[in-house]
Amino acid sequence: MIFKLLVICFIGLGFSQSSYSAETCITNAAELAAKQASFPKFLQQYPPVMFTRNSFPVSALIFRVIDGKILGEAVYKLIFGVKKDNGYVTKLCYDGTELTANLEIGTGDNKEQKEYKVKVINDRTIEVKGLTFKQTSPAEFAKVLNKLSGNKKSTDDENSSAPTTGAQ
Amino acid sequence: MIPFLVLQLLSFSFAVTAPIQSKEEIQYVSKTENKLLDTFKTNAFMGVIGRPNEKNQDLTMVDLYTFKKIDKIVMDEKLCKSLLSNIYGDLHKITLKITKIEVYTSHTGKTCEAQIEDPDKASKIPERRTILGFLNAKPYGLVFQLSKKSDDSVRENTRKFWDSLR
Repeated sequence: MIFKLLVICFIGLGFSQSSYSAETCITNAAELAAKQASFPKFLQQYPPVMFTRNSFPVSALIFRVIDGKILGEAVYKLIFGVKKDNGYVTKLCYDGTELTANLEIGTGDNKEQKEYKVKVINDRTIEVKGLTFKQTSPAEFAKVLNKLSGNKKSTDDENSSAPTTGAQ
Repeated sequence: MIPFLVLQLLSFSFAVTAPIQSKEEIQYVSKTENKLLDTFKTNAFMGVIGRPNEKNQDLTMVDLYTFKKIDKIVMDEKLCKSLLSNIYGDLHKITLKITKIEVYTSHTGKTCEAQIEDPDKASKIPERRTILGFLNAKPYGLVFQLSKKSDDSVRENTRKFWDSLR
């Protein structure tokens, strides 16, 4: 009985250690360059890395390096305009299937608040909050930004979130 | 035509859910209505206010925040910095820099205005203008994400928008 228990504990320990050691983390662009082989293919080429989705909600994501820090940016359409937002990454980990990103907004009292999961579907496709994005070229990226800006009308754009009014 | 009518109906049906009211015409999208909306935001973020009559593109969208566990109901610099860290993270650790904080008196009493700049010279959002104060004894924050650094007219506009809130 004790022997069986020890075997189970030993196997359990082995599993937990192997899953732990499979995760690779970086905190800046230099570390990413050094450990790029352990990250998805799209991160093995030095950023910027661009992703877009052409179906509703049409949107774009880009990861850039600014002064050695990794910056994430999102562009998407709301009913009253094109919204741009960004955030600096403090830590990025990859376990073979999922990227986990911590952002600067989560430092201090907000520690528990922001840990983003990005599912890596394949070498060129990711899933963020259930939305699929495909890696794209700068030219394609510019096209999607154009579409978002309203330079090319699309039914997708018209499907953007409906607003609520607050005027009195 | 049909999508327009649908949008109008949706606008009407959700009108009561706008958390704050303004003397100027505003629209509102909650973070629960758009998956991407809170991607780079803390939990204090509520949604985005649209200002359809505003001509300056930078000022047509305003991020709305609200805060819990606030003991004080009078704004001062200490409280302002605490609320700013609820929006941006630890002010001593983040890349964005607070370059100016001013506590001034608005229609609701002591109100804080902060200028937050991104040191990245190529940043798409070089400045975030933040106004923090109380509306009906509840703490709220407004963030204007600017594509270029503010001038006097932008600063006046953001304060006027706060003054329009009820």
